[in-house]
Amino acid sequence: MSLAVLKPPGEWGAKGADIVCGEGQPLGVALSSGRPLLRFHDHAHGTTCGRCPAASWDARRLDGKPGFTLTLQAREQHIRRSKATSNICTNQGLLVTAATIYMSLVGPQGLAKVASTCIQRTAELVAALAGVPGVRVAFNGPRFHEAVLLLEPAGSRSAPRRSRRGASWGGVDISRDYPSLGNPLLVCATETRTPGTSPPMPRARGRDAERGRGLRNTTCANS
Amino acid sequence: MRAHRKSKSQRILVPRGVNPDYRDVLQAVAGGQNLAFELLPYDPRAAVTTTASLETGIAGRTSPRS
Repeated sequence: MSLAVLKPPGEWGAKGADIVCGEGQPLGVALSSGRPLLRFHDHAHGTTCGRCPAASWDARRLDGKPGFTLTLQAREQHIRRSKATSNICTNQGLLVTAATIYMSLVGPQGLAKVASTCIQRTAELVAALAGVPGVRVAFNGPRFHEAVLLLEPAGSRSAPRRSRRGASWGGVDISRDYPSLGNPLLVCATETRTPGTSPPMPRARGRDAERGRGLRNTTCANS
Repeated sequence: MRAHRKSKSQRILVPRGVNPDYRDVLQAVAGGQNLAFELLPYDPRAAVTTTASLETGIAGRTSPRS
Protein backbone atom coordinates (compact mmCIF):
# COMPACT_ATOMS: atom_id res chain seq x y z
CA MET A 1 0.00 0.00 0.00
CA SER A 2 2.89 2.36 0.76
CA LEU A 3 3.99 2.10 -2.88
CA ALA A 4 0.96 4.22 -3.75
CA VAL A 5 2.79 7.27 -2.39
CA LEU A 6 6.41 6.20 -2.86
CA LYS A 7 8.53 6.47 -5.97
CA PRO A 8 8.13 3.30 -8.07
CA PRO A 9 10.82 0.70 -7.24
CA GLY A 10 11.85 0.67 -10.89
CA GLU A 11 13.13 4.23 -10.37
CA TRP A 12 15.08 3.53 -7.19
CA GLY A 13 18.81 4.13 -7.47
CA ALA A 14 20.69 4.19 -10.74
CA LYS A 15 19.17 1.03 -12.19
CA GLY A 16 16.03 0.51 -10.20
CA ALA A 17 15.12 -2.49 -8.06
CA ASP A 18 15.64 -5.90 -9.64
CA ILE A 19 12.97 -7.68 -7.64
CA VAL A 20 9.92 -6.29 -5.88
CA CYS A 21 7.69 -8.27 -3.56
CA GLY A 22 5.15 -7.35 -0.97
CA GLU A 23 2.06 -8.26 0.95
CA GLY A 24 -1.28 -7.84 -0.77
CA GLN A 25 -3.59 -8.49 2.15
CA PRO A 26 -4.59 -4.80 2.46
CA LEU A 27 -5.92 -4.98 -1.11
CA GLY A 28 -9.37 -6.11 -0.17
CA VAL A 29 -8.42 -9.52 1.25
CA ALA A 30 -10.26 -10.21 4.47
CA LEU A 31 -8.43 -12.08 7.20
CA SER A 32 -9.93 -15.35 8.30
CA SER A 33 -8.13 -17.09 11.16
CA GLY A 34 -4.98 -15.35 9.98
CA ARG A 35 -5.29 -16.61 6.41
CA PRO A 36 -5.41 -16.74 3.48
CA LEU A 37 -2.90 -14.12 2.43
CA LEU A 38 -1.79 -12.71 -0.86
CA ARG A 39 1.60 -11.62 -2.02
CA PHE A 40 2.77 -9.84 -5.14
CA HIS A 41 6.08 -10.41 -6.81
CA ASP A 42 7.66 -8.80 -9.83
CA HIS A 43 11.13 -8.96 -11.27
CA ALA A 44 12.78 -7.04 -14.04
CA HIS A 45 15.21 -9.65 -15.28
CA GLY A 46 15.26 -13.36 -15.89
CA THR A 47 12.95 -15.87 -14.35
CA THR A 48 12.14 -17.06 -10.88
CA CYS A 49 11.94 -20.58 -9.63
CA GLY A 50 8.72 -22.48 -10.13
CA ARG A 51 8.78 -24.07 -6.72
CA CYS A 52 10.51 -23.57 -3.41
CA PRO A 53 10.44 -26.37 -0.84
CA ALA A 54 10.99 -25.62 2.82
CA ALA A 55 11.51 -27.59 5.99
CA SER A 56 10.73 -26.85 9.59
CA TRP A 57 11.33 -28.70 12.81
CA ASP A 58 8.56 -28.95 15.36
CA ALA A 59 10.09 -29.33 18.78
CA ARG A 60 6.80 -29.76 20.62
CA ARG A 61 4.69 -32.16 18.60
CA LEU A 62 7.10 -34.12 16.44
CA ASP A 63 10.11 -34.42 18.75
CA GLY A 64 12.22 -32.34 16.44
CA LYS A 65 11.37 -34.30 13.34
CA PRO A 66 11.34 -32.27 10.12
CA GLY A 67 8.23 -31.40 8.20
CA PHE A 68 8.33 -30.38 4.55
CA THR A 69 6.12 -28.20 2.43
CA LEU A 70 6.16 -26.29 -0.82
CA THR A 71 6.18 -22.66 0.32
CA LEU A 72 6.10 -21.46 -3.26
CA GLN A 73 4.59 -23.10 -6.28
CA ALA A 74 3.63 -21.15 -9.33
CA ARG A 75 0.90 -23.62 -10.18
CA GLU A 76 -0.61 -26.80 -8.90
CA GLN A 77 1.94 -29.48 -9.69
CA HIS A 78 0.60 -32.64 -8.21
CA ILE A 79 -2.71 -33.01 -9.97
CA ARG A 80 -2.01 -36.62 -10.79
CA ARG A 81 -1.20 -37.46 -7.23
CA SER A 82 -2.82 -40.77 -6.38
CA LYS A 83 -4.85 -40.35 -9.56
CA ALA A 84 -7.12 -37.92 -7.80
CA THR A 85 -10.36 -37.17 -9.60
CA SER A 86 -10.48 -33.66 -8.24
CA ASN A 87 -7.90 -31.04 -7.44
CA ILE A 88 -8.53 -29.39 -4.10
CA CYS A 89 -6.06 -26.73 -3.08
CA THR A 90 -5.90 -23.19 -1.81
CA ASN A 91 -7.92 -21.06 -4.16
CA GLN A 92 -5.46 -18.35 -5.09
CA GLY A 93 -7.86 -17.25 -7.79
CA LEU A 94 -10.31 -16.04 -5.16
CA LEU A 95 -7.69 -13.75 -3.64
CA VAL A 96 -6.58 -12.48 -7.02
CA THR A 97 -10.18 -11.69 -7.88
CA ALA A 98 -10.75 -9.88 -4.59
CA ALA A 99 -7.58 -7.81 -5.01
CA THR A 100 -8.43 -7.03 -8.63
CA ILE A 101 -11.93 -5.85 -7.70
CA TYR A 102 -10.57 -3.75 -4.86
CA MET A 103 -7.91 -2.06 -6.98
CA SER A 104 -10.38 -1.51 -9.82
CA LEU A 105 -12.87 0.18 -7.51
CA VAL A 106 -10.33 2.25 -5.60
CA GLY A 107 -8.07 3.18 -8.50
CA PRO A 108 -4.64 4.82 -8.39
CA GLN A 109 -5.91 7.98 -6.73
CA GLY A 110 -7.88 5.98 -4.20
CA LEU A 111 -4.83 3.89 -3.31
CA ALA A 112 -2.84 7.07 -2.77
CA LYS A 113 -5.65 8.37 -0.56
CA VAL A 114 -5.68 5.17 1.49
CA ALA A 115 -1.91 5.39 1.93
CA SER A 116 -2.10 9.04 2.92
CA THR A 117 -4.85 8.22 5.40
CA CYS A 118 -2.64 5.57 6.99
CA ILE A 119 0.15 8.10 7.40
CA GLN A 120 -2.19 10.70 8.84
CA ARG A 121 -3.90 8.37 11.30
CA THR A 122 -0.56 7.01 12.46
CA ALA A 123 0.69 10.53 13.07
CA GLU A 124 -2.45 11.30 15.08
CA LEU A 125 -2.11 8.09 17.05
CA VAL A 126 1.53 8.68 17.86
CA ALA A 127 0.90 12.28 18.84
CA ALA A 128 -1.89 11.25 21.19
CA LEU A 129 0.03 8.41 22.82
CA ALA A 130 3.20 10.43 23.16
CA GLY A 131 1.23 12.65 25.53
CA VAL A 132 0.67 9.82 27.99
CA PRO A 133 3.05 10.00 30.96
CA GLY A 134 5.58 7.21 30.81
CA VAL A 135 5.30 6.82 27.04
CA ARG A 136 7.69 8.20 24.48
CA VAL A 137 8.31 7.68 20.78
CA ALA A 138 11.34 5.52 20.00
CA PHE A 139 12.31 6.86 16.58
CA ASN A 140 11.93 10.10 14.71
CA GLY A 141 12.30 8.77 11.17
CA PRO A 142 9.57 8.61 8.53
CA ARG A 143 6.83 6.08 9.16
CA PHE A 144 3.90 4.67 7.26
CA HIS A 145 1.43 2.99 9.57
CA GLU A 146 3.55 1.60 12.38
CA ALA A 147 5.46 3.23 15.21
CA VAL A 148 7.48 1.99 18.15
CA LEU A 149 6.70 3.41 21.58
CA LEU A 150 8.88 2.99 24.64
CA LEU A 151 7.11 2.36 27.94
CA GLU A 152 8.87 3.48 31.07
CA PRO A 153 10.26 2.25 33.30
CA ALA A 154 12.07 -0.17 31.03
CA GLY A 155 11.64 -3.04 33.46
CA SER A 156 7.86 -3.13 33.29
CA ARG A 157 6.00 -5.56 31.07
CA SER A 158 2.46 -5.69 29.83
CA ALA A 159 0.88 -8.23 27.56
CA PRO A 160 -0.91 -6.79 24.53
CA ARG A 161 -4.60 -6.82 25.22
CA ARG A 162 -7.78 -6.30 23.33
CA SER A 163 -9.63 -3.09 23.93
CA ARG A 164 -13.00 -2.95 25.60
CA ARG A 165 -14.68 -2.60 22.25
CA GLY A 166 -12.90 -5.65 20.95
CA ALA A 167 -11.88 -3.76 17.83
CA SER A 168 -8.27 -3.06 18.51
CA TRP A 169 -5.16 -4.39 20.16
CA GLY A 170 -2.97 -2.60 22.62
CA GLY A 171 0.09 -3.05 20.46
CA VAL A 172 2.68 -5.77 19.99
CA ASP A 173 5.47 -6.33 22.50
CA ILE A 174 8.67 -6.54 20.42
CA SER A 175 11.10 -6.60 23.32
CA ARG A 176 12.15 -10.17 22.57
CA ASP A 177 13.25 -9.24 19.06
CA TYR A 178 14.76 -5.88 20.02
CA PRO A 179 15.95 -6.25 23.63
CA SER A 180 18.19 -3.19 23.41
CA LEU A 181 15.10 -0.98 23.23
CA GLY A 182 14.01 -1.85 26.75
CA ASN A 183 10.22 -2.05 26.80
CA PRO A 184 9.09 -1.33 23.24
CA LEU A 185 5.53 -1.54 21.97
CA LEU A 186 4.68 -1.59 18.27
CA VAL A 187 1.45 0.20 17.45
CA CYS A 188 -0.25 0.66 14.14
CA ALA A 189 -3.04 2.64 12.53
CA THR A 190 -4.67 1.96 9.20
CA GLU A 191 -7.45 3.34 7.06
CA THR A 192 -9.87 0.72 8.43
CA ARG A 193 -10.48 2.60 11.68
CA THR A 194 -11.78 6.11 11.73
CA PRO A 195 -11.29 8.47 14.64
CA GLY A 196 -15.01 8.06 15.34
CA THR A 197 -14.89 4.30 15.69
CA SER A 198 -11.53 3.88 17.38
CA PRO A 199 -10.24 7.19 18.66
CA PRO A 200 -6.65 7.16 19.85
CA MET A 201 -7.57 8.46 23.27
CA PRO A 202 -5.14 7.52 26.00
CA ARG A 203 -6.99 7.19 29.26
CA ALA A 204 -4.53 6.13 31.86
CA ARG A 205 -2.11 8.18 33.80
CA GLY A 206 0.79 7.45 36.07
CA ARG A 207 1.31 3.81 36.94
CA ASP A 208 -1.36 2.67 34.49
CA ALA A 209 0.65 4.21 31.70
CA GLU A 210 3.72 2.39 32.90
CA ARG A 211 1.83 -0.84 32.51
CA GLY A 212 0.66 0.04 29.03
CA ARG A 213 -2.95 0.42 30.08
CA GLY A 214 -3.10 3.81 28.51
CA LEU A 215 -2.84 2.27 25.06
CA ARG A 216 -6.28 0.78 24.79
CA ASN A 217 -7.34 2.33 21.56
CA THR A 218 -4.37 1.62 19.40
CA THR A 219 -5.00 -0.45 16.32
CA CYS A 220 -2.95 -2.98 14.47
CA ALA A 221 -2.74 -3.76 10.78
CA ASN A 222 -4.71 -6.94 11.09
CA SER A 223 -7.55 -5.57 13.15
CA MET B 1 17.70 -16.39 -4.27
CA ARG B 2 18.06 -16.14 -8.03
CA ALA B 3 21.26 -14.13 -7.69
CA HIS B 4 22.58 -16.56 -5.14
CA ARG B 5 22.05 -19.43 -7.52
CA LYS B 6 24.38 -17.80 -10.03
CA SER B 7 26.98 -16.24 -7.77
CA LYS B 8 27.20 -19.06 -5.23
CA SER B 9 27.51 -16.44 -2.50
CA GLN B 10 26.63 -17.67 0.95
CA ARG B 11 25.61 -14.30 2.37
CA ILE B 12 22.28 -12.49 2.28
CA LEU B 13 21.95 -9.06 3.86
CA VAL B 14 18.71 -8.37 5.70
CA PRO B 15 17.85 -5.03 7.34
CA ARG B 16 17.47 -5.37 11.11
CA GLY B 17 14.27 -3.37 10.95
CA VAL B 18 12.43 -5.92 8.81
CA ASN B 19 9.53 -7.50 10.66
CA PRO B 20 10.93 -10.42 12.71
CA ASP B 21 8.14 -12.65 11.41
CA TYR B 22 9.26 -11.98 7.87
CA ARG B 23 12.83 -12.75 8.85
CA ASP B 24 11.65 -16.04 10.29
CA VAL B 25 10.03 -16.80 6.94
CA LEU B 26 13.36 -16.14 5.23
CA GLN B 27 15.02 -18.58 7.57
CA ALA B 28 12.33 -21.19 6.97
CA VAL B 29 12.46 -20.85 3.19
CA ALA B 30 16.20 -20.55 2.64
CA GLY B 31 17.81 -21.65 5.89
CA GLY B 32 18.24 -25.18 4.61
CA GLN B 33 20.51 -23.99 1.82
CA ASN B 34 23.40 -23.18 4.17
CA LEU B 35 23.07 -19.45 3.64
CA ALA B 36 24.17 -16.87 6.18
CA PHE B 37 21.63 -14.16 6.89
CA GLU B 38 23.51 -11.09 8.07
CA LEU B 39 21.50 -8.35 9.73
CA LEU B 40 22.19 -4.76 8.75
CA PRO B 41 21.94 -2.39 11.71
CA TYR B 42 19.51 0.50 11.55
CA ASP B 43 20.03 4.11 12.44
CA PRO B 44 19.19 4.24 16.18
CA ARG B 45 17.53 7.64 15.80
CA ALA B 46 15.35 7.09 12.76
CA ALA B 47 15.10 3.27 12.57
CA VAL B 48 16.01 3.29 8.89
CA THR B 49 18.74 1.34 7.14
CA THR B 50 21.30 3.83 5.91
CA THR B 51 23.26 3.56 2.68
CA ALA B 52 26.43 3.54 4.81
CA SER B 53 25.20 0.46 6.62
CA LEU B 54 24.32 -1.17 3.32
CA GLU B 55 27.72 -0.39 1.80
CA THR B 56 29.47 -1.79 4.85
CA GLY B 57 27.50 -4.99 4.47
CA ILE B 58 28.16 -5.16 0.75
CA ALA B 59 31.89 -4.75 1.37
CA GLY B 60 31.93 -8.49 1.87
CA ARG B 61 31.10 -10.74 -1.05
CA THR B 62 27.38 -10.89 -1.63
CA SER B 63 25.24 -11.98 -4.51
CA PRO B 64 25.75 -9.31 -7.19
CA ARG B 65 22.94 -7.59 -9.02
CA SER B 66 21.82 -9.47 -12.07
